[in-house]
Amino acid sequence: MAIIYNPHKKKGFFRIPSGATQAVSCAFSYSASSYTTSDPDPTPTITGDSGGVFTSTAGIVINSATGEITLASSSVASYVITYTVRGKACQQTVEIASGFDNDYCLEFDGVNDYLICGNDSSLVNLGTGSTFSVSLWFKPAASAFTSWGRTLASMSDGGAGAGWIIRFDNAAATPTKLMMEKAWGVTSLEFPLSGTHGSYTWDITATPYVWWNLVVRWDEALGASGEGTFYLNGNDVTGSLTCDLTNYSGAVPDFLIGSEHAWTPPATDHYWSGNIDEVAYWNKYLTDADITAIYNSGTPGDLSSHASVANLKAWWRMGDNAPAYATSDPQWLLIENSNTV
Amino acid sequence: MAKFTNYSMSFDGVDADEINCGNDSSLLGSGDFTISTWIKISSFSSSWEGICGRGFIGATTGYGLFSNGSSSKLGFQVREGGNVQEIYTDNTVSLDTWYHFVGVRVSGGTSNIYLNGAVQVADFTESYTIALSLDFIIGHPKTGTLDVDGQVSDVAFWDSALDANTIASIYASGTPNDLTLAASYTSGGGTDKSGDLQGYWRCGEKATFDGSNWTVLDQSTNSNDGTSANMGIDTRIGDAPDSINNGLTLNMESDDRVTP
Repeated sequence: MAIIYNPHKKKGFFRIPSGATQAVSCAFSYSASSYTTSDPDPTPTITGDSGGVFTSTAGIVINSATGEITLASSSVASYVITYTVRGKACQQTVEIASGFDNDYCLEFDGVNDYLICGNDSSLVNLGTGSTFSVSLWFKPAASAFTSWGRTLASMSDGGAGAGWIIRFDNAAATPTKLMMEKAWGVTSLEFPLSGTHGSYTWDITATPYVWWNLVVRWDEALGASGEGTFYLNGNDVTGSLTCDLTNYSGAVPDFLIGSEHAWTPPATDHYWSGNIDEVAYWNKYLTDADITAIYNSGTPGDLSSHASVANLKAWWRMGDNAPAYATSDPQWLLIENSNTV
Repeated sequence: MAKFTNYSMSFDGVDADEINCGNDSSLLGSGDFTISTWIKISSFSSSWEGICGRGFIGATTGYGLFSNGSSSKLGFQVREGGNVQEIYTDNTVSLDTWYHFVGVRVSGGTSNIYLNGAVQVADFTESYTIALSLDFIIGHPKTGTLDVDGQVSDVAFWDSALDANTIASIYASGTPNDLTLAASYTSGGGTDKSGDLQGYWRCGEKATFDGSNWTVLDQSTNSNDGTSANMGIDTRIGDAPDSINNGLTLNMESDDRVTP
């Protein structure tokens, strides 16, 4: 209904001025007033007139046409979102808070699935006096126990014989150990898939499709040529044992998850069968307390607030915190999260 | 906070790797324009290596950004057939290092280049007529030769001349940001030029692979999507300016991301 300007309350019929226009509405609203950086990106509902422009202050990534907020790319803060249409502006305050959810992992088919994560020097700590640790969560499928060589993670140059490989053993068709190799067939550290160490007893093979937290740590300066330790669900399952690893002498291979380089990289082999989640690389010989914190009583936690976060050089969340466009067309894009969460 | 750019495209410098973005008039460059890229050179050849542009380094007409192996510098060229103006960075550039490199053409005025947000000494003036319709190509200047060996990310083209403050803003101290957003231009005191953005190929992000070639989306308001040639699925890599060690799956499907 048209609104007629009649300040003197005159009675009778009025002629609507030819230039009169309908009132402009800039009404809009987001579904909530607060989001976390791990929530789905929100787009507001425009109940007023369309065709306006969304703006806000620096720190928020917002689509000027739709108002969609890219939460993972926005800074944690409170923002006033303004929608301006034909000179009229409406505002809503939106709070963006830090969030940590573990909603996803990746499922590997044991045939050819794997993840390639680059070969930056931050991932190379094998020289004199170096230390590193790798932490991850894994859930073996039933087929993980019927073929040897299932690889969780690796950074190996194949036949050249340097680097490390964390995988089920390759000594039999039915694997019985989880090991770290420095090269194909050269075991450096291992523990049985079922066993007892101290007061802790485990059996990885008893039931497939169960999540386990695994940490391996290594210190070149310990012992004669380096020592390492495996931890399962926060428990030491090996003690500190001799663990001889060799630094790369030529091209640095890629860090792989779910596979290892074959004899001649970049070919790959020995694919994981099952799920892998929250893979992290640390340039530190993690302490027992560090490892207990990673296990976190069985619940993956936010490593960006871990006590040793300064040593967290890479963290692949395996599906969480992925960009909205990171579908598998044809690849999942899994950004490294050590300094981005 | 997640970084905006985490992936790039890798060009091997040997077999005409390219992303061809077509010859739409929006990319013509007949008047003032700005062309921008992030580039990480893996090795120099003994001559020129085309990074991005159309009809450059050759007896053609056009413009482009390139590297020069004999001088180890980055260059910007505008040409009308045999008439050429080109300028180089003040200093050599290092291998395996990301740089933000920008060429600004002012038709009839002073054209400049910027390296990591800083204007370089060399400039030129010309009033060439750029009217040919050669394709805009990322990876080399024309079919088959003078390929770049390195990584390229976030190539952009505007049909206006960006000023120093605006270029410093989009350089953003070495971290690429979203060139479709006004704030990316104004954060360092520049002027919003998002409306002049005619081509924007982020290269690694939002690319798709059909089993043979990549489609690299033009994320400006135009639709000059690039199509690769001679580039396999392993040419998208998880290394970008100020972002390393990003993961990429191989042989995995959409339903391989599952709940724990």
